[in-house]
Parts: sequence; structure tokens; C-alpha cells
Amino acid sequence: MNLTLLFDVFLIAALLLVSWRLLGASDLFQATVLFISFGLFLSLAWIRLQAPDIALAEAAVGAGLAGVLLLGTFKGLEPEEDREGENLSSEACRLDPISPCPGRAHLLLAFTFVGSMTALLLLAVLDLPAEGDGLTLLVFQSLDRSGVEHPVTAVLLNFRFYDTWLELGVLVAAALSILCVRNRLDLRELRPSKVPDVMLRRLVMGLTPIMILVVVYLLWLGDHAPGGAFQAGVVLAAMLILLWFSGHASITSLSRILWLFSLIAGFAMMLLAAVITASWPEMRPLEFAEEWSGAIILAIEVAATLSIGVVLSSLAILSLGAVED
Amino acid sequence: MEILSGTLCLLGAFFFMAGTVGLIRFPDSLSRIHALTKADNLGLGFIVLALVVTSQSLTVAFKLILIWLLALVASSSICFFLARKLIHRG
Amino acid sequence: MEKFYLGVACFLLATMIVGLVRVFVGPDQEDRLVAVQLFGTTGVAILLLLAEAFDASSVRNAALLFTLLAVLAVVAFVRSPGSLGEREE
Repeated sequence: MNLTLLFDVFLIAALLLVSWRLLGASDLFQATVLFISFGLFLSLAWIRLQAPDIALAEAAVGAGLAGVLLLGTFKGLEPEEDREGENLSSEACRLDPISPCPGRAHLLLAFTFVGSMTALLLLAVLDLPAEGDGLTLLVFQSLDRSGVEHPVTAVLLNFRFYDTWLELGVLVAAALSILCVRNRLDLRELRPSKVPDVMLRRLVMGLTPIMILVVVYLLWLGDHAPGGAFQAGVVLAAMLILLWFSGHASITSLSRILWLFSLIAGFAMMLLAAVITASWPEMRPLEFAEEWSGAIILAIEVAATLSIGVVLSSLAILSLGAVED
Repeated sequence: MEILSGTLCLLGAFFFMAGTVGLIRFPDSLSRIHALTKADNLGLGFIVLALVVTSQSLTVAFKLILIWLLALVASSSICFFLARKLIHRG
Repeated sequence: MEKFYLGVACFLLATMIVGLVRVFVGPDQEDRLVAVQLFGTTGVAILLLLAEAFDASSVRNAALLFTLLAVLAVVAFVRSPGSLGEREE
């Protein structure tokens, strides 16, 4: 039997098994842990689909960050032990079947929605041309004018610049909305567990230089190989979260202005690039001159890495931190 | 060289299997943590070693060893944290 | 040799699927996390074998990221304020 096929069959079986148990688990903690392993299997699947860029991003997000964010959510969903009464408000609409929502109408609604989405998706897949590479040829033809050597980076930061720009906007919006939900203006005073942990401090002290090295490496890699601002930003976020957990100086010790500045640095840098190219006489908006495009993309990538790192770590800290009093 | 690499690979796979068996069969959480660290360190160690002896370039070998060292640090600290939490809980 | 590496990768993937049982049955939260930790290391081994089998060096970077970020979820589990993880008592 073909080994590659065997590997794929195992992988698909694992993905289906995990997602089935993930949705069926009555224990939210189990679902969280299963989601982390789902990310691992998914990353293997992206490798098999020959999409190493996505596999890298999935490795960075799935391995660490998703787990942290979901643990924070889990903490928010679980009823407080010292809360008075029967915890009716938080128990009434839990995701588990122990105390289901009254009525079955929502199930019908969900099935209708999922069914129609699946049908639409199937139609879209059937509608795809059976052969042809889409825009791949076009990308490779214009690659030497883009300023970078890796086609994915060229698409993300040159050809489809506005997509990435708006995605950074989404990240900033996410950070702002979680600030609203937590009713806060900044991250200062948010602390992890109060008990000091010498072991963790030492561990993080050792890991931080390696993480900085990996951030720079991934950023540099994006120019000619799978890698780039998003993956580097996620590692930066992981580093900031670890520093915060271990009680070292992290983004919580930044002043409000500096923190806000790094939050929007990526978006602002791209806005600046857009304004400059739009007001330049002989250029169209968001069109970079060939000789400058490499430098512009690098500057934007550095700013985007900073922003992605700060936004993602802020999300985690906001969902996990508590005010000390 | 290929025979050596193959043997090391099989050894690594054996330790991963032993780790999984321990994870399933051991009676309590602390011994399951014990099973995990053996599998982590030796299983990944042998597989990294197998790939190092056949690797063509020095940079690849260096990266493989770096990954193994990082995994050593990560798994031992994780098991320490989890075991401490288990013990404190009683 | 590529075939052999792929075969070992298949075997490791099979051990991961068997190990999923521990995540399903628990019983403690720590047990589930330990199982996922083992998956992480097994996954790294699979990635390294795949990198060799398909001759793709970027796969090694994914393995590097996995090992580097492995501690994050567990640290979040043991260090978040409040009695997270002690609710089952």
C-alpha cells in the first residue's frame, strides 16, 4: 500500500475523530485541549497540502496562542465558585448537554444555516475550473517586480496589499473590542497568579533570547521562503505572554501612549504607505516603485510584526489577567 | 550510515510507542507524567540522531539538535509545572 | 530511505491516534494536558521525518515553532489567576 496514502488516511481519521469529540465534549476543558491537538493535526495536513506558510502559521497559533486564548475563555465561561445562588445565569446557556437551552428552535436554525452554507460551499467547489492554475502564473511573472522573492509574501504585501492592511485593521478592532468588554483603558495593573515562581522565571529568561532570534529569523525568511510578519508576530506575542506570566517586564509595563502606538504601528505604517503612494504624482494608489518596494515591504513587515505581537499578547493578557488589590 | 539511521529511527519509534502505552496504561497522573518524559526525551532524541547522521548539511544538523534541546527544556519544565500543581492539589 | 521515514511517520501518527484515548477519558485536567504534550513531541518527530522524506526545509521551521511554543499553554494553565484547573474538586 502506498505509504503517502496511508499517512493521509490516518491524518484524515485523526482530524475527523478529534473534531467529532471536540464538538461532542460536555467538558469545556476537554474541548479546549482537543482544540490544541486539532491544531497540531491541522498543521500536518497543511504540510501534506504543500502549504508550508499556513502550516507555519497554524503551528505558531495552534500550538500556543489558541490554547492560551481558549483557556482564558474557559475561565470566563466557568461559573465562579463563590458566586451566590444557583449560578442560573451562567448555567442556563452552557455549551454542554447537561443544561441545554430551553426549546429546540435554535437547533433547527443552526442546522438550516450550516446546511445552506455547506450547499453553497459545494456549489462553489463544483464551479471551480477543473484545470488551470488560477493566478499562479501571473504571480510568478510579476514576482521580480515585487521587491521580494517569495510569492506568498509578494501577494500579501504587494499585489494584494489592501487585504493585509484591512486584516491588521481587524486585529486592532479586536483589541479595542476586548478592551470594551473588560471595561479597561489599558493593560497596566493586570497581573497573573500572585505566587512567585522561580522556576518559570529562569525558564523564560532562557527562552526569551531564542524567541527573539526566531522572530528575526522568521521575518528575514519571509523575503525568500515560507515565513514572514504574521508568524514572527505570533512568536513575539508568545514571548510577551510568557514574560508577563513569569513576572518579568512585558507590555503591561509600557506607558499607555507607547502601548497604543505599538498596537496601531502596522496599520498606521500601511496607511502612510497608501497616503504617500496616492499623493505621488505619477503613481497609482498602493503601487510601489520597483526600486523602493523591497525597502517599503521590509519596513511594513517590521511594523506589522510589532503590531501583531502586541495585539495578540494584549488579547491573551486581557482575557487571563486580573487586577491585583 | 543508512542502516544506522534506520536502527535509530526504529528505536525512537519504540520509545514513542512505549510513551503512548504508558500514557494509556499507567494508573495515576504522576506516573503518566513519568511515561511522557521518557518518550519525549529518548524518542525524539533517537529520531533527531537518526536524521543527523544522514543529514547533508551542517546547518540542518544544527537545527535538528537545537529542536531536540528545546524539546528537552520544554518537556521537563512542563512536567515539573503539571506535577507541582498535582501535588499541591493533594 | 524516504519510504522508510514515511513509514515511521505513519507509525507515529497511529500512536497519536491511540493516545487520543487519554484526552477523551481524562480523568484530571492534567492528564489531558500531558497527553497533548506527548502529541506535541510526536508531532515534532513526524514533522522532522516529513521534512526529510519530502526534502522540504520549511517543515523543520514548523517543528521549531512547535517546540518553542510548547510551554505556552501549560504555563497559561498553571499560572492564570484564580483557581483555574481546580474546579473539578
